[in-house]
Amino acid sequence: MKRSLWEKSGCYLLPVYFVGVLLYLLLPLLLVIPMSISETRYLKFPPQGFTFRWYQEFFASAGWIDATLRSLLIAAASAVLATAIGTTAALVLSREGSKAARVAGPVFLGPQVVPVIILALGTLLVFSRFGLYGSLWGVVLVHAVLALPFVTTTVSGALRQTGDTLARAARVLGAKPHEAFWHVTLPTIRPAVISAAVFAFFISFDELVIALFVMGQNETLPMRIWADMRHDLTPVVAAVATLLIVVTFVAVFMSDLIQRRAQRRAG
Amino acid sequence: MSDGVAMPHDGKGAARGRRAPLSSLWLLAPAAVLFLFVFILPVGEVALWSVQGEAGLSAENYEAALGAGPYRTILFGTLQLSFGVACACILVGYPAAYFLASRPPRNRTLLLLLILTPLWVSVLVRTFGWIVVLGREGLVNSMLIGIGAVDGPLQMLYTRGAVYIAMVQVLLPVAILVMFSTMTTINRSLLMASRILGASPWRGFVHIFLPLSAGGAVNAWMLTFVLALGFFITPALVGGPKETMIANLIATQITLTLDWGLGSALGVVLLIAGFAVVGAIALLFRRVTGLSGHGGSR
Repeated sequence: MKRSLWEKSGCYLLPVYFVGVLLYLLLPLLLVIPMSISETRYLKFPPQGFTFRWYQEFFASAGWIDATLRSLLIAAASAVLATAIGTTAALVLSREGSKAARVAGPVFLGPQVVPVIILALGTLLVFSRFGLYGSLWGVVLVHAVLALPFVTTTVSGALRQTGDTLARAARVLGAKPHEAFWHVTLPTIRPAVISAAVFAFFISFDELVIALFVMGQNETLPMRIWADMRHDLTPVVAAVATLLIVVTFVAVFMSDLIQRRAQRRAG
Repeated sequence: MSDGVAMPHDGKGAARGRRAPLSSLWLLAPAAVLFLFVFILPVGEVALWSVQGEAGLSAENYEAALGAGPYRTILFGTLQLSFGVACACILVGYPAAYFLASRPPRNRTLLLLLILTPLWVSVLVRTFGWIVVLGREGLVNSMLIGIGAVDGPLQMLYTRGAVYIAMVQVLLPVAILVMFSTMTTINRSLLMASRILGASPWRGFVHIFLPLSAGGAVNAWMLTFVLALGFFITPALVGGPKETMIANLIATQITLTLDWGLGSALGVVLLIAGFAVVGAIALLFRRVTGLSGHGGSR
């Protein structure tokens, strides 16, 4: 088929446009990295000199480290909780035509369509009523709810893809329900479960608004960054941001790799 | 764990099997309990506080929130800004999603990953990036001064433009993902058929691809709009006082003035206004095209 001029120009235009979109999405992130090794106390582009001082300041500051450890703990706990509960729910939600799935599926997406500020406000009201203000475990629960939609969609997607033929075969051969799940179903959906857990972790680890409302003096890492950005905007923020960018990129690419390798193995 | 998962049966009977519903409910129970206490209860509490006056039930908070004055201005400002941001996300994202969807599956995995990775980086970090780019001594200003285009640094931070640029960047991956997943379900042989029947590629695109992908675009618009409504971090960090969003106002009511009733009323108004706009758009879309905007996958 002969290609028209429109099509030919489209061949170049779209890829160039796409690269532009990629730059728009990624460049502001990548620019943070050189800022973290610049010597100036205020943000100046291009970066001046070279120093690791801001990283040293981060690791030497009890405030920053406490906030980081607190965030790691909250994120790990809420990732475990969301993944366990979400995977269990996905076993039902993935069954097509199930009445429970039809009702519960859209309901569980609720936290995605209700502005987070409203959940933050409600959490504050509930927490202050039950004396949970500043409680680590309270925030773990809320973060788990935020992550739940991601876990259920990811895991039920994988469950639908593999089907339940193998699990049914295991049952016919005499496996108990939990044995069939543990030895047959779980190994086939493990990559999806892992990536759901990774994302659940980051949803909690990056979450600011709810923490800001209910954590009070128990600062999390995003709260610490927020406070610093609002008041002094020191290059330490650039150092922390760089660490976060690197960790996030590595985790996302790793979880993608695991998932793709599993897909290849499955054929 | 579940009888329903493993019972030997034909596919359709699975859900209606006599034992399946019971086990289904048990498996859903932990999620449902968590949901009830940590999602339904807080949202209900907001509704409760919003109608509580100094002496029992009262509409005074709503009168304050909706009456003429700064609150109403901020509410309309928030709706307007979110509307604009959602439209910009669709316009900027549609061609990118189209490009992604037209790649062979092998190539697009990496491209999709590059688009989606920023989604997992903290919004704080992404906003910080824009401070580096748009600041007084940021990338753009140092470049403009370097080539002699301007004499002094331009004020780009703390403006409406900065809020737009940063919010669209934060929400764009979501919009692209939603539109992309609809586009991959479009049967490409329809386009091929239109070419064979003599239609130009442009005509094929307008009459076949565009209508089939419109549902995804509308879904993407609704999702980005609702997400934009609740934005808190970006407007506070790169916007000026004029870009105060309702979320920032609620935060002020809660933390500084300690007016929880008014804060709650503002939250309820935001929620209802958001759903009203989304519902109106969905209805309009269905009326105009006869299609359902919910057809596409999230």
